[in-house]
Amino acid sequence: MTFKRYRSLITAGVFAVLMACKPEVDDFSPSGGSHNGTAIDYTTYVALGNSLTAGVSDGAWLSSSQVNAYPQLIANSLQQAGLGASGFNQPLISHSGNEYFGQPLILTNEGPCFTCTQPVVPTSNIYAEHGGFHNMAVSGMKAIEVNNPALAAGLYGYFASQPGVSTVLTDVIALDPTFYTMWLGANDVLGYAQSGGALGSEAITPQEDYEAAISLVLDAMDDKGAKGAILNIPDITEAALFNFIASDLEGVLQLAGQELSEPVLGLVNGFMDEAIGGVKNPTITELVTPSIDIGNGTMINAVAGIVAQIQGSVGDPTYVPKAAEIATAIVYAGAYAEAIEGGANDEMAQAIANAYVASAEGQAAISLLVGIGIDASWATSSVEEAIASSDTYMKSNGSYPVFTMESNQMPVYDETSPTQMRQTAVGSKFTLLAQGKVSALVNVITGGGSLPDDLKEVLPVPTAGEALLADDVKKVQDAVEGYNTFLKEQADARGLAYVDTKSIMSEAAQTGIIIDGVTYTTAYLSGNLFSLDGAHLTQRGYAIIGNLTIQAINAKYNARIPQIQQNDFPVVETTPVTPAPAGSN
Amino acid sequence: MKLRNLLLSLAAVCIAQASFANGFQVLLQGTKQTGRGNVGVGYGPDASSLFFNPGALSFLESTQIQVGFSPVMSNISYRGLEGSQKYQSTSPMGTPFHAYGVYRPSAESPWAFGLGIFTPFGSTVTYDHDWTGRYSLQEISLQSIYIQPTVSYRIGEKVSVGAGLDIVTGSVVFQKSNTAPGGDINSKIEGNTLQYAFNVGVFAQLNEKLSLGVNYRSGVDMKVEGGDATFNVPNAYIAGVLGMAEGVNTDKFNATLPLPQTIAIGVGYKVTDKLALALDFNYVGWSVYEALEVEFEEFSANNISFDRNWQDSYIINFGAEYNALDDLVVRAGIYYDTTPVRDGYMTPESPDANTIGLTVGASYNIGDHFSIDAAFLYNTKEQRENVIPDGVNTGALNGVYKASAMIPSIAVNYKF
Repeated sequence: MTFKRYRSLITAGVFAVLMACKPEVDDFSPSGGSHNGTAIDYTTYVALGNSLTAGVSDGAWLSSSQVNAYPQLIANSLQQAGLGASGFNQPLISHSGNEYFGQPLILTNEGPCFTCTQPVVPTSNIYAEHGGFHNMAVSGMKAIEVNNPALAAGLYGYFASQPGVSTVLTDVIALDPTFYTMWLGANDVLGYAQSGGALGSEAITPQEDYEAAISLVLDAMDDKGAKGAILNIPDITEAALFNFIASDLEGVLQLAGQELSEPVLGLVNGFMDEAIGGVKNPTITELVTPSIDIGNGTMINAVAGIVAQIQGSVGDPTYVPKAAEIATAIVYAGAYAEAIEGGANDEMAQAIANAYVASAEGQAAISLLVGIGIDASWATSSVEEAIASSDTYMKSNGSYPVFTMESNQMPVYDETSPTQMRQTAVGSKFTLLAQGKVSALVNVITGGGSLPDDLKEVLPVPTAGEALLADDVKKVQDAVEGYNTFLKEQADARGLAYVDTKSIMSEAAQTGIIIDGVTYTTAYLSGNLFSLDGAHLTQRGYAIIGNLTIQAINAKYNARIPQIQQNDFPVVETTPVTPAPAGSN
Repeated sequence: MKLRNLLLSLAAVCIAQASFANGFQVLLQGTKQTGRGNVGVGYGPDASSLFFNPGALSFLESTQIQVGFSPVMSNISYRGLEGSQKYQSTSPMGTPFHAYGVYRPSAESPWAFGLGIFTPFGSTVTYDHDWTGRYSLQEISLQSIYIQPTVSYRIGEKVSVGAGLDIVTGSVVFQKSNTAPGGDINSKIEGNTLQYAFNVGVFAQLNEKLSLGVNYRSGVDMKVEGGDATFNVPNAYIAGVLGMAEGVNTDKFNATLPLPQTIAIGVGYKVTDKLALALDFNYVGWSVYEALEVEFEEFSANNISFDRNWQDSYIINFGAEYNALDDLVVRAGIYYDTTPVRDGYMTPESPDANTIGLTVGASYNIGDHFSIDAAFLYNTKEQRENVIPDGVNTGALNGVYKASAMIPSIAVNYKF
């Protein structure tokens, strides 16, 4: 058959094509880049940072997340490319035999669980056996603590070279680093933000202290001739922690699946009127209620009585007492009467009343009365007018919340308010920790129940980390901006890569970012960036940080370090609830 | 080595997929045409002219049938833009086929009547389900089957016209993952549709050497209504948040994939008694594909709206035929297929780039009635980088793609 003559030819042709059967994309060709003509040396890569760098996720330092901490991922990429970091060593939690330190939150099929795990703390030091650690991040560390040996009282004690003597910085420098990343500063504002801001006990690290601490690190690295990357500080108030719960009624209702409408407003405002109007301010009612018989059967109110008394004591019936005099006299009279009632004699009662007037509490009461607008005219004003004016005052200072369609900020708990509550300013944040209280409050409001006597039970308490007031949000943001300005200057001056995590986080918060087919936002759970605690990232989130860092290094040094395959890393995972072992607590 | 063994080993080594022509076009409607660079509009009437140019059918000498099959073994290679890890598609072999029957009342009759079944659009691309691009695509299978009753009429000796009605059945399967807390949510849609299009052509045999042809095929909106969708949510709590149930949730979806109109012109020239050269030019109206919109009836939060923004593309085909022996014709060809996908709009289902196709083929007569056509097409796309522009959401991922395909084709003909 003629065809046979061509068969060998066809066979050869098919074979030739087979050789090229699966053409692949070309190989990635890595390179380390250089700075001012000097090649970047990645031999010994070290990382400085806090919980974000240590790989904390879901509220604890998890072994599963630590092994994928972003410095480890960067080291993996460097190793893959043969550029260095070959001995990169982390202070593994697993060396202690534990799976985590802290008390992790878990996601079960019933939802996030805050109490399904047992807390674990490290009880040993692993340096002698495993030491020489390249990821020296310490959860909770502030920048100003980087050279503080006392840090060993906490998690640093688990892997410090000499607990109580060494510092994070001395341990890092002892490794003779050639390359480093530094992400320090979030805790210098986070403590403040999580403890009630100005109301709480924690302070924002002052700019000059922050700069001194950072300079200490950067100078030490310069001395070693190391290059590296500085990650700037994200605006922590954009974290899921501060944004899951709206601080306005409209948002809170939305969470409960309801819409803000005129009828709902009427309901809520009516509820407030009932709870506060004339009920929560009985002392004011008493003050203006005619209840004192001046001797001829004419009843006057307490203010009128006080005014008359003051006029008598100055010997001028036309004297118009100042508000402070009236307020002081009322507070004095109240304390005096209470002491007499309690069994004190006149002398003792006077002493008690004087002491009370001088006390902070007494002064606060005086200020309150002055603030209400108490003056001589109250002596003649009607009960209704007086109450209305006091309500007006309370409404104006937020202790009597009023909700409108346009402005409906929620109140927080405030012990200095006569109503225990204080309506927040726009821009205030409720944190994840306030979730239970806010839903209890919504239930009361929409369900028509009554408020508990202690409003702490239903209102977020700023000092418990449940709310951050607008003024304090601003202070945190200003501090972060100050830190970042300094970090950028230093990065530029010292020839370091600058990783703008703040901009990425803002973009995620405002519009979301899309990377490789996935949309990331700062939303709690659904945003995929933040872990269950709302402040730390998911493993995917950390991989994104790792990639941002690699991109910045590549851009700065004209390097080609391969990217991390971030879709290989999980977001929040389901964890089955394992029953606690018998006898544990 | 026997050819059968060779084909088996080929299949074993190159287990791959079917998206090889640009867009979702499948340029495999005639094995003879495949062998000569897919030229068929203005040259060489045969039964598959029913697809390439129905105007040429009344130039056929006799009633005939043709059945052919072109297994597509293709491969997509991907790595991240600055990533060192490579990924391969795992697509199964594609199976485009064609079958034509043309009735000629007599060799002199001006009329020809035909019926064809063919698959001009389709694509099957699969990847490992846990690959890095699973949030863009795990599997797509687009199939269209055209059934085309056709009539052709010769006006005088030199010119004939033809027209066909296309009854188009289509099906789609699309599967991807969605990142979610508590575990990825897998989504899958499956649907079918029936639509209509038409095909018209003019063919002219100007003299013994020179022939010309023009063909127009209308576009068609492949609209799926009430297709089946499933979402598999592994975590019960997350399912609740999303208003779904734990496990598999079913839904209905509507979506439309527009298929483009094509305009083609071709010319053929017999250089000698034995050697002929031919050229086609195709213009493909892919700019109709602006966006991929999938709307779900119940779980509308999952609606898909991905930018596509394709542009019209063109294909230049060049082929040669040589009558090597009385019963043997050999062929070779080349074509250049431009991509409709703009920079930054590549997706794992369409890792498109400008393509070069190299083809060889042969036909052998066994007796007076029976003949066999065979062809082989090697199709290689340029390596292309994809960087999704700011503000554009294609649902895809940045990276570098390189795609290729090997396609043997075989057909049998019977002339009455």
